[in-house]
Amino acid sequence: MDGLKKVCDIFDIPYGDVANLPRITLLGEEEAYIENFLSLEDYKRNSVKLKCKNSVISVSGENFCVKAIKEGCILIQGKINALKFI
Amino acid sequence: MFFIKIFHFFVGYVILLITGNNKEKLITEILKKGCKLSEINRTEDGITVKARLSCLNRILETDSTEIKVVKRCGLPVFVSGLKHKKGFLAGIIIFLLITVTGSQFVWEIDYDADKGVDLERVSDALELAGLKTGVPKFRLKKPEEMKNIILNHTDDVCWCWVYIRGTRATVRLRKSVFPPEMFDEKIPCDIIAMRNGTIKRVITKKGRCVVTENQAVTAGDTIISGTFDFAEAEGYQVHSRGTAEAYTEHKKSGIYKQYYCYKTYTGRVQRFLTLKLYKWRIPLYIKSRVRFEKYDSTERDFDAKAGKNRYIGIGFKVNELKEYETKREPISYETAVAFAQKELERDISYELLQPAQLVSKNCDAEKIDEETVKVTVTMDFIEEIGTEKRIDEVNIIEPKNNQSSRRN
Repeated sequence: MDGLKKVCDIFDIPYGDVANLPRITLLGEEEAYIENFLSLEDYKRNSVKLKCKNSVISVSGENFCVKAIKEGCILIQGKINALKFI
Repeated sequence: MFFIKIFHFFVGYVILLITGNNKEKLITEILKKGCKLSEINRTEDGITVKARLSCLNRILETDSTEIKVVKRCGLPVFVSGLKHKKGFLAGIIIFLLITVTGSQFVWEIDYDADKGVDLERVSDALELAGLKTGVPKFRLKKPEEMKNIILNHTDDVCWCWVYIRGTRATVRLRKSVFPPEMFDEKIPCDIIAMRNGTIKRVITKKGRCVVTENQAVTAGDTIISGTFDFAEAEGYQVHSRGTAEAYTEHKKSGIYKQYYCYKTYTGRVQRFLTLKLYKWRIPLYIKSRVRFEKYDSTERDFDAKAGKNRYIGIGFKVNELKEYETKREPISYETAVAFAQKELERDISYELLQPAQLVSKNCDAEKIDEETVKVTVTMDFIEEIGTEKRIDEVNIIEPKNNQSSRRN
């Protein structure tokens, strides 16, 4: 990983796209768009867990609804209280 | 989201319920098959998921025991349902065929014309031009050709055009305004009196004046003659020109009541509905008896249109009758006389020749009974009563009203 990062730095290549790291876009505390996840681990009304390449993302809050999901991308709506990497 | 919903409706979607212990794993497997899911909600029974109709088979291949189809929605579902309702489908198709076919004909002809245009002649001219109820629109001539035919077959129309909007043809007509008849200077004519009067002044520009001041004349009498009798040339004729002013008397009388009538509506209404189906008019009422003694009638049309003004040939006509009562309000004798005088003076003004100068007026009122008054208005004017008349014409102008000479 460190080697890949150095190569990307040298050649000015975006490291996040090459390394398939999860990309999280938050819209306030109401919407979260997460890309580059591998699978849905858990889905409850107050928490969503997503498995990524090197970690598990846990989103906790209230009244979660998955507005759209396809392979690799998910859009979560609801009241987001916390976002953790486990 | 609105456009996404519209898109989902056209494409078709299903709502699935995922139960069991490995719901999230099932979702991940569905995603790996290339299906997109939306509106994922956790409920008491499991997880509900919305997916496209085209992905349903691939989803059910994953695990059909723990995935249940709750609802199928969208246009493809509706269309496939119609396959079992052949009668309904046939009815829709027949209705569309009738509507589309019916809208290819002209079913109504409306006239937008000035007052005084002879609509019967226009209607005959339109038939010659090929426009009548029930004619197919593709058989109609061009508006320019129809216009020419109408103008050639009518005398009192100076402009017309035919607009076709849906199944309604609107014929717009404008009446010709004719200038007064002017005689050629070479045609010999006399100046004669148009009505009875007493001559005030005659200005003779050409011809021979045969009347004197204060002479009484009746309608048709010669005032300026165009015929000269010379010893050398008997019967020499010219085109007379000149003006003749005379005192004329106009008298009008009428009987008026000493009360004012006005209507108050009782609120009771009776309606008669008629279905307009292309050229047929089908009454939708059984009894046509009117329940009221006094009523006002209004007709309203509710037409089915495709677009703004395109009448498709189907509609309703509502004839509404509103009952009213006539109530009387008494007015004083003076008010009744003043009202009558105003009305009679207005009637007299319609028959005046221009220019007319008022000399005097008088109003007499006579009480016939408690409620009835007879009012007579006499007005004296100075009018130009002369008009040209060809010397070889025999017709004499008839007096328009009951008049007498002012002075003898």
